[in-house]
Amino acid sequence: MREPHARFQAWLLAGAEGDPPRDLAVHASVCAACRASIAAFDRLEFVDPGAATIPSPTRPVTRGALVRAGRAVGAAFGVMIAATVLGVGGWQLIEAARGGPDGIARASGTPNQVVLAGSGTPGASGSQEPSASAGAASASAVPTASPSSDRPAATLRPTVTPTPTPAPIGTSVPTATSVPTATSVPTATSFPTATPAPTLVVTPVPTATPAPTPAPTPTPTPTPTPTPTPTVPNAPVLSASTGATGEIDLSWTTPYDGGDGITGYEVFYADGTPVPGGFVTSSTTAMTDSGLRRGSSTPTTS
Amino acid sequence: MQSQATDAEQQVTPESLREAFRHLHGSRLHGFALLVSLGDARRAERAASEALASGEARATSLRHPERAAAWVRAQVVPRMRRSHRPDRTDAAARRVALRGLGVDEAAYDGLAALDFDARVAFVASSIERFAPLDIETILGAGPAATHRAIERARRRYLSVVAGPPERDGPSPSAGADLEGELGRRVRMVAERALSGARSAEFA
Repeated sequence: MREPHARFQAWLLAGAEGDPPRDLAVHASVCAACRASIAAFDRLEFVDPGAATIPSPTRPVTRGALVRAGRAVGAAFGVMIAATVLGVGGWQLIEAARGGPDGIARASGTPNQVVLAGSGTPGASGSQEPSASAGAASASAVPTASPSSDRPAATLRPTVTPTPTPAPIGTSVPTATSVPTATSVPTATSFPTATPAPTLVVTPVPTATPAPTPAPTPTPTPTPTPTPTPTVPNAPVLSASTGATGEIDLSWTTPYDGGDGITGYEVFYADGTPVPGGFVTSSTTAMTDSGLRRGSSTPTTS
Repeated sequence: MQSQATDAEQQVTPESLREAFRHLHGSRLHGFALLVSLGDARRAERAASEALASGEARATSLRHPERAAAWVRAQVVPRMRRSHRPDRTDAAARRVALRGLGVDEAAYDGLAALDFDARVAFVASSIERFAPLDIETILGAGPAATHRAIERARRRYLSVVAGPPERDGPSPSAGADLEGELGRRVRMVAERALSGARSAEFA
């Protein structure tokens, strides 16, 4: 009895196509469960989907319309994001450039650039001290090893220590090699070194934004320019022409000044006696001596 | 004769073809949507309307008009699946909506026991009686998967409406005397078998 029942149920579940086998049909006609199953499917015979109304027409939403709408929404969203990013970024840049009242740049959290620039670039005098304008930030950036800046002209002095040549005994006029003397020229050890800038100590910044602190650039060592030592000027070349009786016209060319400016000329006679009116300024390169006497020596200049 | 045919061809405009498509498929498509949505009238009408409009737009370029009914139902199914949302239509309204299609209480319970995909397979196979190829189109599945889906749905429906199918004996479900086309078919085969047996017995 079980076997035809299961087969009939399988036939039903498979779609009940065509006529069932005779034995199954005989079984189903006397089996209440099979008759109930038949009735369950026969209920569906009264279901008529065509009894529904025709749906009201609607405008079809095509794929193209959806794609266009999606693109429009995406574009609007992208523009909004870009505008927001640009706006926020620009505002932060403005805020960073503005800086706080304490001299600290808000965005970078580091002292204003003027402080770093002042400490990293020595002035013409070679001073390494922060300038007065950067004094407000001196508490946050103080050079720990300031160079010996008490000799402003030191940088302009020659670095080559001249070797003093002892002056010849008995000579009252110093030679060119003896100036300057060793004691009057600062030694090389007293000059600023390249270490001060890297040893700048930047104290913790007050703002929370950890911006990359610009590394202090090494302080360029000022290259001293050798100052030429003045030497004794050359003697002027004198020319003379005879004038009236007891007179002589003298003129001379401006000689090499030895590195220092010529301030004037002195005219002497050969015996060393100064010529009257022979002490003239550098702008004078000619004069007339009217005090000659027959049999006396000719004047000379020095 | 030829001029009459030409006149008839001239009357078949794209607009008239779309109108014919609408009248041919509209009501049954709406009924299909109502059944698979278990009486959710609003969702069913929207999905059926959109699918119908989509079908009308292609009415003039259908390569297999005999498959149009399956194709347009295949347009309904994904729309309803996408718009699936928590049940906001109460059961009474659903029953009323389906009663208009001839779904009685027992059949409603059987349909309600199925999930959406099983209900689609069941309605397409056991109510609308589509061919297997059309059911595959509606479900968007292959032959084997379609066969399994249909069998599973029928078994589930049967277990609810007629009780467990393997049970032999009186069924708790009422209406066992209800006889439709299937019942008549089984009875006739059984009667032929029994009459033949009697004939053989008395021969």
